[in-house]
Amino acid sequence: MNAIQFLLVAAAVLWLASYLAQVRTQGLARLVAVVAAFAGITLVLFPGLSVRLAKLLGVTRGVDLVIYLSLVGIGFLWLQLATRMRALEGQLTELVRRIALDRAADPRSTPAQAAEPERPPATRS
Amino acid sequence: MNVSLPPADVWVIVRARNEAATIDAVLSELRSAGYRVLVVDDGSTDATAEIAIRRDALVVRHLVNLGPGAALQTGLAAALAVGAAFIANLDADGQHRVADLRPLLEPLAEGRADVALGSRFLRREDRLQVPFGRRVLLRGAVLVNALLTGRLLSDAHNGLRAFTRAAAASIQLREESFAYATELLDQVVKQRLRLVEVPVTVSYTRHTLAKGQTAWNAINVVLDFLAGKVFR
Repeated sequence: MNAIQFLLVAAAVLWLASYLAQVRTQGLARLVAVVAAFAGITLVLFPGLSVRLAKLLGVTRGVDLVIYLSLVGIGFLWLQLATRMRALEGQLTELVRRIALDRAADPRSTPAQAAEPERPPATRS
Repeated sequence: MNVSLPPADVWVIVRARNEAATIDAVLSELRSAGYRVLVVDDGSTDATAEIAIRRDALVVRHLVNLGPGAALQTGLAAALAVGAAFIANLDADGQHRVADLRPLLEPLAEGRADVALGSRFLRREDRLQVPFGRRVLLRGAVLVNALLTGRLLSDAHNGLRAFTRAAAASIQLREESFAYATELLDQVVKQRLRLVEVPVTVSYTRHTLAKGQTAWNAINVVLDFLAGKVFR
């Protein structure tokens, strides 16, 4: 094993471990992560494999094939993150609205009292 | 007006984010016209909420800034909760005239419509008030809205509107940003609410123009609306 192979395999193992350590990742995402990490490690340890696979698919170099595939992978990852972000924004809105309505209904908490220092609002409007 | 419409039956939602400079004039005018006023403070860091309380408005306060769509939805929910018969919406920056509320509410009170939207493009004198760049932008927005919702109107993203109680209860806005106006139109069309456009005058000052939308924002509106269709 040469230096770059060692580095890449170590990175893949670390990445997988930290990904799996996140409590919130769901079942399918975890499975995909495990498969992706092991596929990556295999390709790093057996460079000839990617070349043969590339030729089979009509790509000249093995590295090119890996780059193309990772671009597709990143695209999917981005989509997943965007979806989750949108869901989170929706939940935040729901929460902030609930608090706003509850406080308006409760005469003891006038908005003046509720004006404790908050973090600077994001600029969305 | 043929049907009597006591202004006290009408709750006017005023969305405000850091509008301390202009909101006092708007609120005092609304109060002297007899309307009930509901201010949705969308995460202001200035004295907007305090001024609104001093003007006897019901203040509902977003702890963080969520955007105009979320603020309108909060306003609708609050107005329904306090038993509003009619709900109107007017911006806090002074660009809308309080006098335009009556013609907006009239078709609702007479039972001719469920939703009334203000339009800057129904009367020549109103149209001429709109700066040229804004006019071009709004024409584009009107066409985009028509493509996305199937309903061709004369104006788009005009913050002056009114709802009957039943119509307001059927609206469920999920777009927090400016895309909400398109979403609103979409829901009005889908739920077959009766819609009228009413001529209104919008006055443009440097302040309102700075707060308003840019061409860049218009692209965001389309993308947000489409993303909302795909992701939810």
